Amino acid sequence: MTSVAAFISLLVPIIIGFAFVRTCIPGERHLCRHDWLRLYLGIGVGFGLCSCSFFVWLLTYGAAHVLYIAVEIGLAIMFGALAAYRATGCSLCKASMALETTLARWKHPLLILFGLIFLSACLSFALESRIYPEGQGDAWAIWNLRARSLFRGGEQWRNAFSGTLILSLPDYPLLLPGLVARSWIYTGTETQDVPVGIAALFTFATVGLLTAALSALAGRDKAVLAGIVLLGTTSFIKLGAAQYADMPIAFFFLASIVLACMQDQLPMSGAVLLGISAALAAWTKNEGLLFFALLLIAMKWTKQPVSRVLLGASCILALLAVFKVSLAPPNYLAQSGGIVIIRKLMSPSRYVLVAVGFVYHLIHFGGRRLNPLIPLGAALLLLKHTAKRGARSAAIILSGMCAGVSFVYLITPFDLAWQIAWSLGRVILQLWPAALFTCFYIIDFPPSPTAGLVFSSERPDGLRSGSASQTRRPLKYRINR
Amino acid sequence: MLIPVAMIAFATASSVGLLRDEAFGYVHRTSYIVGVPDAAVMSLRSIVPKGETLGFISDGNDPGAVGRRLYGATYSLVPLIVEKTANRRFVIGDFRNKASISIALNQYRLRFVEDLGNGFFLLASQ
Repeated sequence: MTSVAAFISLLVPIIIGFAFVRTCIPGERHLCRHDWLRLYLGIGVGFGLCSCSFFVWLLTYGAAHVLYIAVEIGLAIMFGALAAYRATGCSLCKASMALETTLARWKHPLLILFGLIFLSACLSFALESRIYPEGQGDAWAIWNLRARSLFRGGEQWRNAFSGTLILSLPDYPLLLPGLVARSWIYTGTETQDVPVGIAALFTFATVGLLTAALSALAGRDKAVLAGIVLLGTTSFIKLGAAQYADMPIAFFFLASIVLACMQDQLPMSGAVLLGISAALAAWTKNEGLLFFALLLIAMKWTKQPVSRVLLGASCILALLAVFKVSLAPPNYLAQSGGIVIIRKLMSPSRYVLVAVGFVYHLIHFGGRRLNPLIPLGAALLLLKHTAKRGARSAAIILSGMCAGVSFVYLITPFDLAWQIAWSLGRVILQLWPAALFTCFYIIDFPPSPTAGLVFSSERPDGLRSGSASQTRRPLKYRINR
Repeated sequence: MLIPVAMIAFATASSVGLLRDEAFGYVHRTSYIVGVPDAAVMSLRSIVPKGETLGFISDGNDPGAVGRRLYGATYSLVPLIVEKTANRRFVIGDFRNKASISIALNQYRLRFVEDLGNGFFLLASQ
């Protein structure tokens, strides 16, 4: 019975998220192939919206209560109706298909291999979750600890942000703890199925999102190859099973960059969804705030309007402000005074340590197995790539994140070597799906000999060429027929 | 074509290696309890008043390991707050070595209340 309740508790946010994404990116009346993309986006967005609504419930009614379930069911019905009303046609189906590459010759073997590696990753995830059902250290010391505080705390749920346990980072936002706690309302008990299920959904939704987004923008074969690379990154699967918030934030980083790259093909409500996705990254971990700021900078830099992004983000950022101002103790970075920070910034040894940390973690990236950065780096060096506006924004954001994280390390009040060893590998993994998407988006694999007549709607400068009617059906398709 | 082949080979080898490691880890897994066992938490709740802040002492020498045990105890006992001090009405003792219990009781003027399991003990001020 508990497992059924846990399943329903995870299904309701997925329905809310899918309907919400279909409201922002309308689809056909029936399902089309781009609904996979909407579904994967919807998993994360739905979880994020439910976490936010649970926080609003706590602020309003003062404790977790079974009546909260009615709120979520109401949300599901409301967004479902809106999605049905907005189902006026899929803008992504109207865009052209991508150029066929030499990978197309391996279409079926690639798909079979993807299936096998996916199965292997699922089994590895399940075994790791059986060995460590409560997750790794940070999962129970930070995220599940806070989820228990929210669920068990009753009217004293605010004790979850007691400043006595500084290493449990009580100033971190509530996406994951709120999500777990609200699921336990459905089950009535603190079953470990819930955090494990949430971790699994975020992990495999990230793979699904990467594959579905690349399939829409860069072709199915490239998408499947990217999915294989991500599933083959052992530290990615292990991090997912660890139940850390790094996986949800990696999902929102990827979702935001995917939506930023798709802006030309989406209706205006797509920008609102982009704002929501980026704000949900900020609602997951403090790194998300840096990401959100960098997204705005990148959009301004590439001359894209930011007003709708801000509109989408406003409600979630307002909730985050309420949390930070009224509940969260100051961040550990605020412990140091201005003079101490300047002294740290003037110390060359700290710069060397951060640089060495980056080099070490990049060399050992992917766990104890083969480093997936080697073939990816070779692809970037040896293969042709096309400049695209969305990819330029992504590059600005990703390099900005590395710079921002380095700055945080430089001024940290903790022992620098310890903090780098403890967290840098995970920070790189947070950016990995988004970096993989960006690389596969810009890399041009050699075109298939039969693909010479196919054309894409996207010009190298990111602007669309030709009218929708011209680009609707690839020329190759017509000639083959 | 070499690059996609290398990507596939790297991913396949890593995936198979991970699965083999996980299967080995699963077969040779040991009992894994974080913090205080659930049954003892029920018993502790019947003794300690609601809203009480508990103390925490340990005989461990490694600050990292002691920190993990403190967070483990907090995770089990939440919403009770556990602080690393002996100056509380109720104190959680984390003792790897049984001989250190009597030393700690004398040193901090505490009395033994209950063995919570997994190396944790409930102590109270005299």
